[in-house]
Amino acid sequence: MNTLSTIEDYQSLLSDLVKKQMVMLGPAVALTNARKISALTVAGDGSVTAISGDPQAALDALANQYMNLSGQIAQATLASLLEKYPQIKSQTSG
Amino acid sequence: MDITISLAAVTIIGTFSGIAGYFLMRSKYKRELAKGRSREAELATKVYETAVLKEIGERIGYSLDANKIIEIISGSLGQLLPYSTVSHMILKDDRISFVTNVNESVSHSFINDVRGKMLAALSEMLMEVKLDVDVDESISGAILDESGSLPVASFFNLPIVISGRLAGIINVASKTEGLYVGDDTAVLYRIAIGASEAVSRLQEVLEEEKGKLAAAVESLSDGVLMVDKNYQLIVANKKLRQLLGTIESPKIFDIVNALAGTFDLRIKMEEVMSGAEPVASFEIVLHDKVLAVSAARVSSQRRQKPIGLVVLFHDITDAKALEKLRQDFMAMMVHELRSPLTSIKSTVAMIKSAGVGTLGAEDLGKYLQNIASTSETMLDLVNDLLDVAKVEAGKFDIVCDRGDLGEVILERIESFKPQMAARGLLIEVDIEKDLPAAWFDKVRIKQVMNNLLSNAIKYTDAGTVKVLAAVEKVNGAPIDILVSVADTGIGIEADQADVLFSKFGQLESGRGHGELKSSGLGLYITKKIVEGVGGKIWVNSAGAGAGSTFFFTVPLAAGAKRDQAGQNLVVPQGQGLLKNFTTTKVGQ
Repeated sequence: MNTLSTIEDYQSLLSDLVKKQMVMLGPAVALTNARKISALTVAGDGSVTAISGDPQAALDALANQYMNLSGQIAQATLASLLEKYPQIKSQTSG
Repeated sequence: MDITISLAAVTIIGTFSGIAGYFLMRSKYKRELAKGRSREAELATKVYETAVLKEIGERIGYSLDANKIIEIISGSLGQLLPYSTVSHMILKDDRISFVTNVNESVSHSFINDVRGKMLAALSEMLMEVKLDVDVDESISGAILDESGSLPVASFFNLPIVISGRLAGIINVASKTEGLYVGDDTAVLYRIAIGASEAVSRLQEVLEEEKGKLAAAVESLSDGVLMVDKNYQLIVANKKLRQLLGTIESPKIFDIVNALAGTFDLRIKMEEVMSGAEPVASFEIVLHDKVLAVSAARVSSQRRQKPIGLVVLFHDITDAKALEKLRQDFMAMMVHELRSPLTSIKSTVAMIKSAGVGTLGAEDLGKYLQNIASTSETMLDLVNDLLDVAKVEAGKFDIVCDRGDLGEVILERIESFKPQMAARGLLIEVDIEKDLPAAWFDKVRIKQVMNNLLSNAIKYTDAGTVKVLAAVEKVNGAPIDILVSVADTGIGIEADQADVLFSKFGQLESGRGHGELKSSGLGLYITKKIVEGVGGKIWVNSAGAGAGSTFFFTVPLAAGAKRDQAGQNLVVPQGQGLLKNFTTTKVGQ
């Protein structure tokens, strides 16, 4: 059961991930791929404004989406972001 | 009336059905057409992806050049996407190269914007700020148009990762807004990942092979130095570091410094690299070692252009020492043979000048005796040389048979008694009673006894020569016969004991005895004979002036076994006959 604060953490982590990918891969590619995750609502600046369903599943899906594009680069980015959110783990981080 | 109404209704229904059918068919046709177009687009993307990956595979070969992958992907974009510029950034050491190809005329600020976005992406990917590093810029393609100042409206970046390391990124940018939002970019990411994986795999294989080669070079017994065409050190193996006495991971300057005073490595490398002297060979002396140095230019197989050079350092200290011993030995032999010849010639000249008829019988006998003994000395020298030649040619025959070793020893002692008496030496003999039959070559063992007894006499000015022979036992069981010849002579220093039995032993040990003529090969031949019959030989001495005792063993006849053919006899105890000898039994 995710608490409210944890969901906010997920939202913040997912927003950071999308924004970093916007710098790395370009805004169009990063946003297009983030918006393929139906559980996420993503604003034009990369902020994740809403998560429907399991946030962990959404995180894993987004991570996989980016890893399909940039492999180890996306994996390393996520790993560094997860350090800031010790309560969140990703199945794809390592 | 009813019929008319019915017909009208049928006609209307039929017409509507026809129209509905038409629209249904049209819709279906449109769906099929859309599906067909989608399949066509999918197929075209697949063909494009395959073609680009194939081209990458063909063009990169084994070069592992990330630049080529990036160039190929960049060059193929026109087939797929609209763009104004395609750029790439390559990371090499601490520098970044930025190359842009302009497809649609853009301004300089557009390109600066692209560069800024790529540096930002690079910084994010490396998690390290790269915004203020030196960037080598190159722009090609359409002419820049400074009149317009449209910014980058759409872009995307493709990272290229080789073996887990970011090699560079490709940027596609356009002045047009709203591009690159669909899945048309996905194929490029797949290509980039596919190419990265292929090259990474190739690199792993090459690294493994390189590792094997490096391990082989590292373990070579010669010192190996390899540099590239810019004289950057590639290899300095363990042996080289040992020979030069350098640190574990030397720089080229450490090696040049270590060789200072012998030759200028830098100049020699330049000569070889320039082709003035493609291969150079010379000798140097470094830290008391003589090294043969050879340097050769290495060229690429395909282009035949110099790609570096290799310098080999071969330690020839032992070979040089051996060569010197050979030369000294030759000089000594020539001298040893010349002396008796001169003596014979002088004696004959004296007889001739005096006239044979006028010389008294006593004088003539004395002169002839002198010639005979001098000839004997010469013959001994020549025989020793011949024996050594036979040993080295593998033709030194040892023919073993059952025999009484005690009898041979006593016979030899008897023949040396006059010499011992002449030098005032005493002789003590102790041969075990009922000594069992031994297995040996009588002629050769006589030669062994001759050598040991003559040495004992030669190197003893006063005292006693003792000869012992007894059965040697282990746990009460007889294993062989042990013979010893001891003297009270000049003795042997401990560090000289082993070299005595080598070919140039006398020269190495400095044991040569000025007034006593010999080849100095006696102990070498003696050792070969003893080992040939399956025995061992060694010497004990308490040091200079303390006398010495030579021991040798001879196998027992009872221990010798017939080999499978039943013709030859072999010696037991795993002592191993030397392959240089034949041990065929020729008589029973």
